[in-house]
Amino acid sequence: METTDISTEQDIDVIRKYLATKDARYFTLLYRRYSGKVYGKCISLLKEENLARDAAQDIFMKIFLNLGQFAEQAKFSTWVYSITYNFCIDIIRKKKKMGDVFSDDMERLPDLVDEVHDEALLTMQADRLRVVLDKIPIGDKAILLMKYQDDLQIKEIADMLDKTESAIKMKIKRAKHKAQMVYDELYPDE
Amino acid sequence: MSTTNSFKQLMEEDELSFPPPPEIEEHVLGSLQILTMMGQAMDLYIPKVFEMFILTLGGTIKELDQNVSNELPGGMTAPDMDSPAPGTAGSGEESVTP
Repeated sequence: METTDISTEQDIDVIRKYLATKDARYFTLLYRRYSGKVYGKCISLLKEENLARDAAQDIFMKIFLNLGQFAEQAKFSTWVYSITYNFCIDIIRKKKKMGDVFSDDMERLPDLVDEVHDEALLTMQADRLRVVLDKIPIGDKAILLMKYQDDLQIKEIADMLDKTESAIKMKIKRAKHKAQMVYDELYPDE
Repeated sequence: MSTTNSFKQLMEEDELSFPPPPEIEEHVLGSLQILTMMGQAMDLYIPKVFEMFILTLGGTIKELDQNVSNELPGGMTAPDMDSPAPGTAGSGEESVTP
C-alpha cells in the first residue's frame, strides 16, 4: 500500500492515479477538494437546500462516471464547474419550463454605449452584490459568476455553453449592464 | 488593478454558510464503492458467464479451447478426437457440402 502523502498532489496526478488504481482514496480527495465549491454553487443557483443537495450528489456521480473522458486540455476545476453550471441551469430550465437561458434574445436590445467597468462590480459590497445577482436573469448571473468568481476564460465559457467567443463577450457586457442598472435602482443614493 | 473581488467574497461566504451536508459524501462515496465492486465482479465473472453459456448449449470448455487453438489457416480445423454434442462447434457437420 502506498504510504506517500497524496493530499498535496495536483488534481491531474490524483486523477491519473485514481484511473490507474481505482483506489477510492483518490476520488475521496477530489471530492473533498471540490465539494464545498460545487455545493456552494448549487445553493447559489438553485436557492433550495434539498435541490442543491440532490444536484451536488448527481454532479459528483457524473464526474466519477466521466472521469475517464476528462480531456486534460482544460483544468480539472474548469471541467468540474462546467458540469456544475450546466447541471444546475438544466434543472432551472426544466423547473421554470424555460428555453435556453443563454438565448440570444438580448441581442435585440440596442447597443450599449457605456460599458460598465469590472471595478464597479468587483468592488460592490458583497451583500448588495448578492441581492443584485438574485434580481437579474439566471443566465446573466451564471455568466458573471463564471467570469468573475471562477476566472474562466472567454473561450472556456464559449466552449462550455456552445457559443462563439464574440457572443459570450456581448453577453458579459450586457449582464454587467443589467447588474449595474439593478444596483442603481436598488441603491440610488450611492 | 484592485485586489477586491466581491464575487470571490460571496463564494467564500457561501462555502462557510453552507458546508456540504455529510450525506452527500456518504451517498457519493458509497455509490463509488458499489460501482467499483460491480466492475471488479464483472471483470472476474463475465468470462465464467460465457463458459456457462457454452456448457448450457451442450459444448465443453475443453472443446472450445481446442477449437481456438487448433484452427488452421484457410478456415480448416484440425480433426477433433472428442465426440461433441450434435450441432455444436467442432462436430464436423458444417463441412459437408453437396
